[in-house]
Amino acid sequence: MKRSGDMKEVGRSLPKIDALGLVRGTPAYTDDLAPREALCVVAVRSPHAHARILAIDAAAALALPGVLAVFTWQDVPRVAVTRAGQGHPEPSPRDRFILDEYVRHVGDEAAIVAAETEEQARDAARAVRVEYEVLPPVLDFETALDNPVVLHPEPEIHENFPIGFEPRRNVASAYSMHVGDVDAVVARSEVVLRRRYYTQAQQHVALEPHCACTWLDVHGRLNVMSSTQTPWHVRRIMARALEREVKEIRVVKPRIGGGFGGKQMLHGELYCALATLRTGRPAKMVYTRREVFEATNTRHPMRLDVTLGADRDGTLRAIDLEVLSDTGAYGEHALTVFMVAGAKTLPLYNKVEAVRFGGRTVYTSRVPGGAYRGYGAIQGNFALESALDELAGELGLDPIVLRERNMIAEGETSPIFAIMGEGTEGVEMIVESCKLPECIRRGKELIGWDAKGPRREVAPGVFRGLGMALAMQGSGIPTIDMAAATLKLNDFGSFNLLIGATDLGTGCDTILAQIAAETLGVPTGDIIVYASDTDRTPFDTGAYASSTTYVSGHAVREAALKMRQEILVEGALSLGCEPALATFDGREVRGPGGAITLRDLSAKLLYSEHQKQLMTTGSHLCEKSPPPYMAAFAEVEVDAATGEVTLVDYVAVVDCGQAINPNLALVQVEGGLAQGIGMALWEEVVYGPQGHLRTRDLMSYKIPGREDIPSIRAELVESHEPSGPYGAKSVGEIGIDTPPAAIANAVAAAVGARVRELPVTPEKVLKVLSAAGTPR
Amino acid sequence: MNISLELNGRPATWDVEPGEALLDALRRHGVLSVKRGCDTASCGTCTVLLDGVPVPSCAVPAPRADGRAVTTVEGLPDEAVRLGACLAAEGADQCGFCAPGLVVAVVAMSRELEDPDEAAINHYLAGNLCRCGGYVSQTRAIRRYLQEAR
Amino acid sequence: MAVKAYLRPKSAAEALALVEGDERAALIGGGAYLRLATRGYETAVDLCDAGLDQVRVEDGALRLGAMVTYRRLETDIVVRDCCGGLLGRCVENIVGVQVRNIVTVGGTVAGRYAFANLTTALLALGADVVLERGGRKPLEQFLADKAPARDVLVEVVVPTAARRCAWRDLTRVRTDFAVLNVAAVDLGGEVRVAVGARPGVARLARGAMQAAAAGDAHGAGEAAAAELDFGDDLRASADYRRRVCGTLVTRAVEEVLA
Repeated sequence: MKRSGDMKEVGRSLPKIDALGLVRGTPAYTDDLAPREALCVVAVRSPHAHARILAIDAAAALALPGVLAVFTWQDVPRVAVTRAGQGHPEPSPRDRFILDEYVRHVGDEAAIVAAETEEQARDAARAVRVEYEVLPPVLDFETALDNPVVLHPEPEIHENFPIGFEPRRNVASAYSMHVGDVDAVVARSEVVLRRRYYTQAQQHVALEPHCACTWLDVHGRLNVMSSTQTPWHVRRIMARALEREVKEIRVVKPRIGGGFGGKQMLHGELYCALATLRTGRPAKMVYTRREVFEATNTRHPMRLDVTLGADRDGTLRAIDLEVLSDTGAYGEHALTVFMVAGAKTLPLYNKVEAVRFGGRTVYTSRVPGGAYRGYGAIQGNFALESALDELAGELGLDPIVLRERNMIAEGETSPIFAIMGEGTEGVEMIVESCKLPECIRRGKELIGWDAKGPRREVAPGVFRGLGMALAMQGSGIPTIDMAAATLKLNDFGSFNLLIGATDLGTGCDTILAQIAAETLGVPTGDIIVYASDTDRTPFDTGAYASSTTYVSGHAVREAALKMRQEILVEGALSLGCEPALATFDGREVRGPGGAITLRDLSAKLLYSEHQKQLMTTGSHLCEKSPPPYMAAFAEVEVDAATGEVTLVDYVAVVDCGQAINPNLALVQVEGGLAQGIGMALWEEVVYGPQGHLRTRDLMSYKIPGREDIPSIRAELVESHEPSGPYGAKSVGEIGIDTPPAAIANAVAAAVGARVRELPVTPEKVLKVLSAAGTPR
Repeated sequence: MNISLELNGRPATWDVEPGEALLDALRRHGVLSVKRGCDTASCGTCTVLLDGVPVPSCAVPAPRADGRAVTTVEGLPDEAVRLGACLAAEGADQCGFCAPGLVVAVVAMSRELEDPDEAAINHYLAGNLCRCGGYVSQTRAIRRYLQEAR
Repeated sequence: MAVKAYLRPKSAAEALALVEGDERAALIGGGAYLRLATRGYETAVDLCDAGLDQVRVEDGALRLGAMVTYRRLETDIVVRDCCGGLLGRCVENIVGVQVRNIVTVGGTVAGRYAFANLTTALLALGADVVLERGGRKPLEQFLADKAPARDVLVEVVVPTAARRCAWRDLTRVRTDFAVLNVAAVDLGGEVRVAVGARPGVARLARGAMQAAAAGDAHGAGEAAAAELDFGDDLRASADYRRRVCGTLVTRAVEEVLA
């Protein structure tokens, strides 16, 4: 496989192919493309955190102008599904119906209205009379297990395969694994550290609110356009829920305004479908920002108990991580996010004698937890990397030295790779690329770790501190994630690249075009991309688990290799020589007697000579999940009188294998860091006493703005993953994982007191400072 | 009610609802670059110029545009192309949802501030949120755009 | 309640006539929270043409028309020269330039918003409000009015005698509402200290003012923390506010006394 220096398209920071169009405001998102005559679909949402619907009176609503339909749970098919955009069979419990007799969080759908305009639909929604029997909610996930209030009593709900589903106990999933005897090893360890950490729910805040649109085409098929990360899963789950065949439905993703996991689930698609199927007319549903907050999904909040057993010299002997995760009202992604909290953190410290990971995901009457960049790894990372720092402190060791003494190295493995997949067992793997030592070395240098030292008082009562954290993630889900790509040769030498992969704005359309171009030997500009259409492109599981570059990239490469071969064969035929004697360099096929350009050959192939359509398809099944790695370093300034934390500097050095497009890889890191910094310092989903959301708009829920993120300095180290397309791994999620731990560690270094509950707010800092006494 | 305005340099007569936001009136009339990203004038994706002044169109009553000039990115084609090229060159453009509002705000900034440094740029654009990119590459692109414009 | 009529009166008197008798009419200043209006209204009375956007200095006072925007407070040379630029400084981080181009002095003050930075600054400056029907009265009195009559705020009058002015606040992200805000103003004869977003509306901290007059910045901080009441809200607890109030007031008073 080619290496960096020899490549023409891969490794170049080409502009995204849709860049200019989007900046100019070309209509490209679902709400821009929805037919003007589409009905507006609006949900009647529960004001109660837990209730049973006794009756719904839609008469007043139906009498209002422009109202075409009102749907209740009794009008729709009753088939248990999960809304989670995952493979089949889904590793999430099927605990949802299109509409149900129960509502399980404030904002849960109670009924659906379709009207000519949005205003009419919202007026009608307000006029629908729902009689509720209000039930006690379960608002504290630490009391959910075996709570007398059972949130999911429905008989039809089930797990697809054993995931520890015990709804009678309010348990959505449970899992445990161990290697060796953790308790015994801990018992004989020289030093033992036990700590408890909490991570909070976080909102994705993709700037485009969720949006879906449906219509019937001339063949009578249901077409769905959706701001989604997973068109195929949406199609399959819609078919199941609506009791239709998959072949009757088409799902297409246009441009979408960000996802981050928030769109790895069904949202409005089923409701639009109800309206379209009933009326025959197009229908659309555009979520308000408030609905995005209340009725899509958040990150799973977790309680993490870490136990570390170590020698006095810092050699780790045992790690025990026990987790309680809050999946909210429904169980989408409950098991898999939970497992990743261990699967994509613990292997970092692979030399321990014993390791144990386990716990449960419980139901509560809150906004459902779901997929969110990092997907458990960021929660696990916060706990593990905080605990390691606390251990370093007890041992009087530099936190970096403690990591270096224990971290995984290239050529090594961890038993956890084989034991833990995502929902199922994993795959054994030798780590073939791991540049953590380089990441650490470079990061230390950039932040000034040695020169500055862990803390300094820069003004009376104002302290600066340095903290760090390592992280890993994965690249695709082994044995499960499959991607496919098709290349079609056009007259005069361009290609259509048809991919199932879903570009969320990440630029994967461009990256995959670069891979195709590199393999074919043509300029990226000759590749025309069309993507994410269940009718017109081949299959792809979708944009999650950091799979697109690694898995879809391989599929593209395979299709391109096949295309190269076919071009060679046709060129040889045209030249009248044996293929074995011909070569193709991207521009022309050359034989002993002469040459023919691709341009000419492709025209002949459609119009004049040996006519045929060259079209090749590649599929790739993810076989292993080589982790990207990073080392991150944070410098904070803490005002000890107010607890205010200012992030002064953040350095991140990433090993993502070969970067197909370095600019796009870096912006993934920078964007991920900003989101992680938001989780570390400011973002908080806050509920009121009755379970309603107090943070339900962007005035009350604050994401980082321009002046909040200081110089982020992100760099990629040179790395090559032999199993990846052109040496690539992944970069979509790794960027978000480190800030909570790195910043909490930096604050602890600065003021000698530690916050173990995210976000690290000034109020919490002041509290731990008072408890600890003033900084020495 | 009827209003007369100048939209991107051309006269227009619209029938708008008294309580309608300018954002909705614009989108209804096919100006789709302006986006609704939030409910609270917090995100900047609906930024337009009203008589040259950058405002959140979601919070301006449509009737207030009567007798005024409204400019959206469709009316700033040269600036959009140039800033777009800078964003693309820095890899700063991702999902694109914040981009049209950003172009409008950057144009307003370039007319209001002379040679802003990074702090001034970030302060002026503080009302234009981006969730994808982490801001640093966007800032580089904007500085490049301002430099090239001089 | 759908808005059925939109009116642009040409003067404050005309506007007053429209809202005085009609409970379902609302004045539109900035219009920033149009979509969130909890109190429905049928008639929107937009003040943008009522001639209320003037800035002038007269008789030793800065007179700000009700429709003067926050952005104008930051950029207008006359306003910047007044009171050490306190007015611009206290609003310059709010949301973004777009919002500051529509949010108005009058809309903020008339709304008696507890979170409003501007109100805290105006209170410390000893400003008066001028109402179309109710005439001129001190801001402190206006804020305390529990049953305000329907009226149109036309102007805010800010004495320009202030020598040094200091502003301190605490926010989560930079552009957020304040967790607590403090303005301290040295008027020559006295030092006025106002604390807002407690989360209650801005109040003068008279004990702090006494200590400040005696040159005791630390005492001012302690006094303010003791004499004011604080509450819990989404952004912080009462306890936290009380603790940081002392620090913020001390620092603000230190700055004006320096």
